[in-house]
Amino acid sequence: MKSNTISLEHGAGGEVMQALIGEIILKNFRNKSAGSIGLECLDDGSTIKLEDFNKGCELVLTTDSHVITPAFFPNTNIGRLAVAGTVNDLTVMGAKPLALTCAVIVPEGFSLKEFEEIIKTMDETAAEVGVPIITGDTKTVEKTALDSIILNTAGLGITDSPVRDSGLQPGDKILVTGTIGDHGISLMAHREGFDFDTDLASDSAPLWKLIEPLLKLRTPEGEPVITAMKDPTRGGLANALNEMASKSGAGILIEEDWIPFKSAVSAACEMLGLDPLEVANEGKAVMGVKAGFEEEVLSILRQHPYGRDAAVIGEVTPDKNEVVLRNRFGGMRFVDVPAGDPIPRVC
Amino acid sequence: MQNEARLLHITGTVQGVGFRPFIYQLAKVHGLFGYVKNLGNYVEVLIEGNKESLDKFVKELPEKKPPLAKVKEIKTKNVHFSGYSKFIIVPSESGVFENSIIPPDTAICEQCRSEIFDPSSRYFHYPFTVCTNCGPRYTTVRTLPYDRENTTMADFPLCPECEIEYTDPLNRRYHAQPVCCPKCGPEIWLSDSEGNVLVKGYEAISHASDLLQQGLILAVKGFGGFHIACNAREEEPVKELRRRLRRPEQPFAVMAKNAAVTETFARLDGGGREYLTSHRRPITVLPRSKAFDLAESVTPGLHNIGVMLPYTGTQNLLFDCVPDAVYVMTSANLPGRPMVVENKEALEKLRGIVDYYLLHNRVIANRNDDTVIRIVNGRAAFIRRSRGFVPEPIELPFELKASIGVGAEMNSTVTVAKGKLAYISQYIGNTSHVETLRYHSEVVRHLIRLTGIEPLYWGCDLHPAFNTTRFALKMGGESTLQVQHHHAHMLALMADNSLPLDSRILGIALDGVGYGSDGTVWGGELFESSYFGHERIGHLLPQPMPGGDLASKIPSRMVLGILFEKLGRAELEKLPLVFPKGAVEFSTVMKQLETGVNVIRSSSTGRVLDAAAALLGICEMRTYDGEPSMKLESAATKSTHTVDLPIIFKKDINSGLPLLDTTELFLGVYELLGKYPPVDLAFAVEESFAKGISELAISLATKRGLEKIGLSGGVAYNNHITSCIARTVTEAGFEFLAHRQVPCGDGCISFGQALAAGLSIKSENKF
Ligand SMILES: [Fe+3]
Ligand SMILES: [Mg+2]
Ligand SMILES: [Zn+2]
Ligand SMILES: [Zn+2]
Repeated sequence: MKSNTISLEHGAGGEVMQALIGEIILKNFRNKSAGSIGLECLDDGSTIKLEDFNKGCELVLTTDSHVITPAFFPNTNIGRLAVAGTVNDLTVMGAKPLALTCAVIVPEGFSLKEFEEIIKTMDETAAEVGVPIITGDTKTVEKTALDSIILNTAGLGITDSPVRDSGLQPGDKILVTGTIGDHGISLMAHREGFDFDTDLASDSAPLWKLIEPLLKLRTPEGEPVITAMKDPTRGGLANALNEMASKSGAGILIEEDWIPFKSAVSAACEMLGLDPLEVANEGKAVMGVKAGFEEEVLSILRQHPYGRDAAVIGEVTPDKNEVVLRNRFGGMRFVDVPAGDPIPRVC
Repeated sequence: MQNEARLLHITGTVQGVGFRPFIYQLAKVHGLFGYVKNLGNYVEVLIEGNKESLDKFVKELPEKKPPLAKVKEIKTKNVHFSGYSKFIIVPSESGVFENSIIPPDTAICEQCRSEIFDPSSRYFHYPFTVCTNCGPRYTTVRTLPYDRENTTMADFPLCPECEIEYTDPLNRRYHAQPVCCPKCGPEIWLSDSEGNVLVKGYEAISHASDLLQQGLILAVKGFGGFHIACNAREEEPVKELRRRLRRPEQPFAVMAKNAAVTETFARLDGGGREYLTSHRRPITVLPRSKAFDLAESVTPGLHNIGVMLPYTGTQNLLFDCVPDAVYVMTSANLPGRPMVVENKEALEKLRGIVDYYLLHNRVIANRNDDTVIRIVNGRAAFIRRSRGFVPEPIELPFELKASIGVGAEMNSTVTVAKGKLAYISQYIGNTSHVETLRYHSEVVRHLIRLTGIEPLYWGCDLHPAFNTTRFALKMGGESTLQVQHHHAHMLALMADNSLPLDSRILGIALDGVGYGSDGTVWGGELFESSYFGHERIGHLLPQPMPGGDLASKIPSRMVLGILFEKLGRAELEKLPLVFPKGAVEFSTVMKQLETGVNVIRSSSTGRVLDAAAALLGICEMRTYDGEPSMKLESAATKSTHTVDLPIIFKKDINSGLPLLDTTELFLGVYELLGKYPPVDLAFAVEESFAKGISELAISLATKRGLEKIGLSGGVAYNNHITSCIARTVTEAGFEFLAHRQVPCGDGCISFGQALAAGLSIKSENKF
């Protein structure tokens, strides 16, 4: 049923959100490009080209708002999410983070102590990758208008060869930098009070230091080894893979057994009937790697604490726009773009 | 005597079935001259002679027609006498076959069968022996016109002897496209698992039969795909096959030499004999007999068994040495996936599953699974309509624009329709699997090519996540109509009963899941339905499905969902339910029900019956489609006592519609647990459910002035429920409609979609 008002689904990262962006936002903004990658690319960020600037370098600009209830969850809080999210959006564009902004909207009655803790966490997270937070804004609203804090961070980065979502070529290997589904499942378990017997924590992490060494890798022909990259946040790996495949005009075949999962995440998903591929991650990247270089990339990734569980999970196929998951018995199913709540289909 | 001349136009299945030679012979018998000619849509006959002979000819034509021919209509008119001096068969001109009808695959006929067992015949022990009355047809056709060079028999040029038979109008093999003999036709051989040829010809078959007797597992290539065979009389091979296929419970179909052997383990007195022995040779689901002497693991936990009789020469020869053998004959595929059809593919995909292969070198152009029929409420119900029936069209009671329906997701088929004919494809399978979806688009292409119907309108399901929905939206674009799942069931039911275009019925749709017009999940629905729309007027109480589709696999989840609001945790904990992950899963499900995390509500009938099976300890896990409710039905057949359960109607808080409260039904069962044996409670659940649905249907039909009450959906395969609904509504003075030629389950969805699209209607609730 189509409705005339915004629903939660419009922000869920699935097909409904894509339609909102495509049909309302992109249609109405007329001037939306400042460099080689503009708003219409719907990549993780966009580039700004400056004349006579650093021979071929472009600036990358990105922004992200964070609303999450509760603001505090196992191990960390919304502050880490906000900084890591923006750092990662720059990172997966192949851009070194130069500076961040921090805008806060907070309701009256919010604990000052918690507020300070969030700010300290932001500082710690930014320090991990050495990015300064150089400007900001604070607004307060009435209790009735908001029930928790909203953080917006924008990030400015720089790159001499941006990494796109759309660069996959048939034959490329698909890699993830670590276990999938940790953030979404840990948060859900924490929020709804599920007791899965194991301590799950959000994977929220800034990935610049992990990814930086990969950006320099070149094939003997001088081409970048990393052909495409994305952070599988909202909509999870399923959404990220579908976006990469459709933007690249290629297909992706994933081997279910190769995807790294924490056993607690698998167990929780199995029991809740959720698809871990649709669950959000906040400290992971998925990338295309030129065939033959996957071992080198893996060994670099695994040297960093955030990349210890990095794995090859599949490869790029010539089948346009298809993301297929193969299980250990050879059975294959399509990995769909998540569309809000899963609808039963087993007859 | 005065000579007369008559011109006959004969329509029906009159091509590729030996019709023209039959006419030739009939004319000869009566001393008539003239010609017979194939005109694509019909056969034209001109006959001249004396009136008496002409009358006899016309009278005997439909009576003596070849067994595979179906005469729909004969138009006769008197024409001028032109003085033919003989009777000739006019060769068909190219191009006239545009609308030609390809006959379905048919079991080897008695005459051919006796030839392969006759040492003096040149067809002795030759498994590919055929004539115009028998053999593979649809499975061999690559393209039209239906001539040998367009079939897979093109690889086998006729030898001089066969050429003579093929071209002699008086011969049984005149123009039978798959004609061949040991000299010129396909070869059969036995291969080991590495593809090495061990032995060829009849010895391959007799050796295969020895291997089966020794308990080994074989792949056997047939008309439309591969079977996996083993000895059904011994536990060990059957259990071994289950291990290798990882199919712990799914019933296996068996093959027995004839009806007499079948009667040693199954009953033919319920109407099954006719179907079992028909030349179409479907798998017929029969009640097990008391003396059932096959391995119990062939059909575990069920009161019935799927049986078929041999239909290929090879299968017949397999029973040569061991006439009372009974073989498991299950199609060679993973559940819902396309059956293996190629030799190389078989060697790869069946590695580790079968020990030996009985192969031949005739290519299979069209995959075609065995048809499955069950007698429900005294009438044949198609569980799967495929080999032996496809591509025979369904006749429509009205004209339709060229359209196509792409089916739902599981048990999917494709239908193309135009004018007054609808062609339903063979069984395709579960299109959520990539391989099956690829096969699905292959079938779409092939069916369009073979029928020559270029669809103007595309029909698909309303479910946004079905691959078939995406496919149709891509192919049909603006001309695609998304048809609500249960409305497709209703349209299929109405056309299946030849109801005219202005009909309205009270339709009951009972199945597992269908995406509803209101975005919720339906499956136990009552509609006022016409060809142009449907209005939902009643349903089952929507029940929570904790874990979504997981609740279909683990029916105990449904039990918790159904009783959650009525019983406390302590009481629920005491229920004899099984969860694969034990207590943690119980707690997780409880938490899901409290928080609503991945809990979807559905008015599904299937889930309620599944839950009853779980609550009664009859089935704790669904390892194949329909398992819990099939086992519930089997248990119910053993019931000896009648138990009453509460039938409560309420008004739905969201839809405002009357509903049958399945929670009250369940509470009734809960209170009687331990007081009655599970088999009695199983019977009572089905009976009360059927009565409740019938009562609701009767009251709504009365209110709306509807005279017909129809039933569609997978639950309609349940003999007890369907019989009970049929009886109740008939006794109340309503006409009861059930399916006739198309499946009750989702195999009918493509048919309903094609109808909706071809009538170019909106699937909204309007009339
Ligand atoms: Fe259905
Ligand atoms: Mg992003
Ligand atoms: Zn024959
Ligand atoms: Zn021959």
